[in-house]
Amino acid sequence: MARQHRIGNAIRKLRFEHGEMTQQELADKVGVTRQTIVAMEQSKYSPSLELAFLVARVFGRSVDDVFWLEEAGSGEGGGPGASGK
Amino acid sequence: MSFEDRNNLVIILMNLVIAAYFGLWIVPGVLTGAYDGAAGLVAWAQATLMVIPVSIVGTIVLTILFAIGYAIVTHNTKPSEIVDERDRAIGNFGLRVNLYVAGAGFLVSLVGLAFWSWPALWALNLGFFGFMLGGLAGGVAKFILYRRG
Repeated sequence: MARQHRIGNAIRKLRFEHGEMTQQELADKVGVTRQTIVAMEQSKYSPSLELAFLVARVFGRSVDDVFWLEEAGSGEGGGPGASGK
Repeated sequence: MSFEDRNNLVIILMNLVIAAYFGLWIVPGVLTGAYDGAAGLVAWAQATLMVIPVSIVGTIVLTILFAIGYAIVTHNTKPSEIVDERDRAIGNFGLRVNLYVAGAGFLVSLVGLAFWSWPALWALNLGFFGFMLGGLAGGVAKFILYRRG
């Protein structure tokens, strides 16, 4: 059964806003592999709650600002804080 | 390529070596009757048991060789050895595929014994083949997941 939702994110944008932080630098800061950051940025991997909090903390944002729920395939629902803030 | 991805390639390669050993050594022996009778069964078990130490040593050797080759190709003498939550999730999926296939092989071997009057040696071979194929299927499933994201 196909997933109906996926986790959108602003990681790529936030990395560039934070001194063009590389994927490897972010990976080192949160203790995962660079491949996991790549998969998260492409919304191919949904991080655990713990990892989502760690990534948000690196950027000094709330989890809601970095990750959001969107309909799979449609790209809808996107944007930081779109889930009812 | 992550640490676990690299290790998975070694495991796939090792499973292929075991499959070659099984196909080129064990199966011809079964077909020619070399393992018939009680003494034959002991010889089969000894030949099959050899797979365990050989695969352990082979995996260690291949892992070292692969690490050296990877360092040379990528010019990275200290590649990452981090294992994270995505590696664990992919690993769990691979293990599940492995167990499904191995379990199916074992089940078919039991059914063959119970209903189709297979010789015990056939059932044992199929059981072993199931475990081998399970390892390979699990490795391939992980390989695909690592590339799909």
